[in-house]
Amino acid sequence: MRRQLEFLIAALIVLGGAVSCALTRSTATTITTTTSVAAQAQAVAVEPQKPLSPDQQRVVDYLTSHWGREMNVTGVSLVMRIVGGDYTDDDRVAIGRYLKDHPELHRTLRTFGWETVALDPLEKRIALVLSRAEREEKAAPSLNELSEVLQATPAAITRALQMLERFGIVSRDPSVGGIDHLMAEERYVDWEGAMRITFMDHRVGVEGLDPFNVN
Amino acid sequence: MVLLLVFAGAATAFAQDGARMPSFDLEGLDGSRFSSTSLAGKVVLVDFWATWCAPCIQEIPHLNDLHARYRKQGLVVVGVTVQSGWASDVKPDVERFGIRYPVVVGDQKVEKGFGGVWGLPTTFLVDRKGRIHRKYAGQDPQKHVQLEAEIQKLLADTR
Repeated sequence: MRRQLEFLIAALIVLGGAVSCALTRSTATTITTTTSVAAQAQAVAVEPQKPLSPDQQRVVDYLTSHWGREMNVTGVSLVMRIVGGDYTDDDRVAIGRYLKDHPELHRTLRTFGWETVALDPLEKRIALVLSRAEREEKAAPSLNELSEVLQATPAAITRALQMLERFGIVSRDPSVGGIDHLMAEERYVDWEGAMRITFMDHRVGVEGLDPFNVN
Repeated sequence: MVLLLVFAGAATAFAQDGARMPSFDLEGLDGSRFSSTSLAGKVVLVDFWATWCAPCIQEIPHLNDLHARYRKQGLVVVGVTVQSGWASDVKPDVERFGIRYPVVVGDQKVEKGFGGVWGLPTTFLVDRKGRIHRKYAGQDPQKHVQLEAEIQKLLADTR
């Protein structure tokens, strides 16, 4: 099981690097789409959306003024570090929800989805693993397995899962075993093909520019 | 960097096992709907592409050419955008690239219906009976030659 999981995650990391690799992989693998959709398992609790604070708005302003330059698809967590300040997970959830609700803000949101910019790298990797496991009707990994193969502490994995739940990407369902979470919407389970880049994360450093993310 | 997202190198053609083209009803760039029912009895070239995908853009003149030369014989070329935003986002790009065939805004359902699109560009050829004849993953200078040969065969097949 662990070996399978390691391969799965290694494959996902490779896929994150270049879709060109997916050509061979996709033709060699038949993907069976699951019909047990997490969205039907549990409704995701929705936290009330408050207006953005000035500091949160500063992040949004930075994002919308930088996206698209040099293929910039920078995420919220990176910008929080760039602009400074004492940002929390609550801030990122608030900003992520705001971006989800306002696709009219920027074409980057309409093109790559709010998830691309709202999730941090660990959250994306966990989402990829859970999505693919569910799509291929494989057992969800345990917390320890995820921790080992993603090289993150159990506490970090747990925190990232909580964030994914708050964003409505996964939902808790103890009946599934393993990490006890499923994808919260069918579109995340069927996160196929070109659309898969939404969960990718690449960081670029260019002399004279702030660091930025690209897809 | 975005070039990493597309298939590099030679296009690879895959013979398909006669799977049916999925039904779809997608948004056109002028607000109208484009339904697969309008494609009955036609040879159809469905090109999944993105406005930020350089190899996809390089293919446009070839697709325009196929559209112009074989339209009257029953070929329909359809561009399906992937991760390119709303119709209003795509429309100026389509004008800028000089695309002369219909372009519609794709979704996850249509990608899945075609068996999955794993990179861009991905092009499908569909015969007059609505069966997926061939899938081309990627782009290379000879792709349009292969496409044209297959289109001629499919157009000639009136069985």
